Amino acid sequence: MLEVNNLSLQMQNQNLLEDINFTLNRGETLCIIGESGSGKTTLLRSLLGLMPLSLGSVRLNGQVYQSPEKTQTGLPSTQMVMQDPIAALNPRQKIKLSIAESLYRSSLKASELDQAIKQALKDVELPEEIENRYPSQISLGQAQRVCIARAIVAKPDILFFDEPLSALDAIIQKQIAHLLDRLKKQNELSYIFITHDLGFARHYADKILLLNHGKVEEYQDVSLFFKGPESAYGQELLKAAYILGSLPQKKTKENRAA
Amino acid sequence: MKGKKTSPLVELSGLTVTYGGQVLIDSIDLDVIAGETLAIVGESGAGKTTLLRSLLGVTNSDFDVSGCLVFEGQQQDLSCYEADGSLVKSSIAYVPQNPSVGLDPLKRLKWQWGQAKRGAKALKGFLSHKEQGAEEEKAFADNILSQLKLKAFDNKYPHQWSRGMQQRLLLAFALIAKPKIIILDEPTSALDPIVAAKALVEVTRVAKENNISVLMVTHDLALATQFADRVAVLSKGKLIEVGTTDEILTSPSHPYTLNLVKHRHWGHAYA
Repeated sequence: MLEVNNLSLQMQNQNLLEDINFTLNRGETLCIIGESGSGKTTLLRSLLGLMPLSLGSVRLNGQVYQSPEKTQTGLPSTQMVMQDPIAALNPRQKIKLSIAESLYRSSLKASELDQAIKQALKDVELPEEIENRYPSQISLGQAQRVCIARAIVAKPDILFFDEPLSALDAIIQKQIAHLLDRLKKQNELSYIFITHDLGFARHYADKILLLNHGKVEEYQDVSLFFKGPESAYGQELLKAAYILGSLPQKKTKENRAA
Repeated sequence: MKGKKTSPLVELSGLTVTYGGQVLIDSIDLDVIAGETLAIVGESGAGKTTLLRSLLGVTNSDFDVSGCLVFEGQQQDLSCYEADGSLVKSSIAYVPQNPSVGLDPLKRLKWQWGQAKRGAKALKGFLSHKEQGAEEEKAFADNILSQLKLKAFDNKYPHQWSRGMQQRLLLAFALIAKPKIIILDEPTSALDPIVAAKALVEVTRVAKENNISVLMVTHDLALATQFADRVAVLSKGKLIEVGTTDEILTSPSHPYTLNLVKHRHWGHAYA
């Protein structure tokens, strides 16, 4: 469905992204991992059209988007969910309006729009009353659900997520990940996540794209990556994740006890 | 640790922090044993930072703090406890979450390290009058740098170092003063995992070797259980459970802890 070919981005003689290639099929989840400054967010931004591409092309649903000017408006049928949900919502605007903004290009009648918003809130397991509240009146987890509702209401094919869970508490994280998984299956969505959390990637990704200094260090099926990364950098990253407990270890005290 | 009768380094009793009628910390009793790594785990808003700040005597001036702190037998009433007291200066080292807040951006790193060494020396009551002990001190300082794998400063300024290096330099600042306890505030959140893993492994090793307690504050139970000897669980200002890492993982007594334990890794909760 999505095909990224030889995507590169240069700014002020610096290579921010170099020769990125990957594909994403319908219903698949890709996790982009790598340390800060590796180009994860830049890659996502250029796919969204928030940054021009210097080279390369993006093919989405058979349509080719060539650099640089065509992608300026962003790819159609994509939506984005950010890291900080409160910052992503207009504080002076009721939740209802924030969700409705996703549909401003559609020709829905007022009653249909209402219906769509109600359905979206239901999909993200939020009570209907929330539509009349302001972002400051809801919790962080609820706000992220609103952002997800706002994204899915536009019926996209691909959803982009930039660290969507890292601002949330552990238990809420798991609930929202569970919700995303259900929505994906229900609506045949494809997901692209930027994440630091290798545990999350192992559990939810189909493919892993490991970036390092703007280049693809590794592009691999999730099971192969976690079995043993090919690159030294990937191996080091995996080792760190085990040390920090982000990935459960095979032979820890707890496992023996359990 | 369990069963062994060790007298605690820090005994916190009845710590209560209120702000305008709102209870932020609700009568917490907590001990830290010499040489142990104790993790305080809690979600956002649980009171982790307020607890830390109370220990350091730097709570918001509008906060009403009460309770008692006994540090190596020396008693301190927390309602009139101040950060410039000798206790904090000489015995407690604090490493902030974000390393750049601990460094002066306009001063060279070498100078800042020198400042830390001079400060540490002053704390020891000008022990090394003239040249006496200077050799040992230099060896001690160099050893800290090499243990933390920090090499030449090369006239660099903070921004010319990576965050990982900055964080390790702050750990060196903490260690040079020979504290009894090091407080790490969310030690991994500002760092990339490879750097974070190395820094934490180093600091817990150095602390163990020198019998320094580590008080680690984190929202991440999985991280806590990797490094801590004991874990204290904080929820809504209350200390709901304290136990050895094994106890917390295998037989948590509080349902909230059980929930945290269940959710600490991906894929168990809804499996």
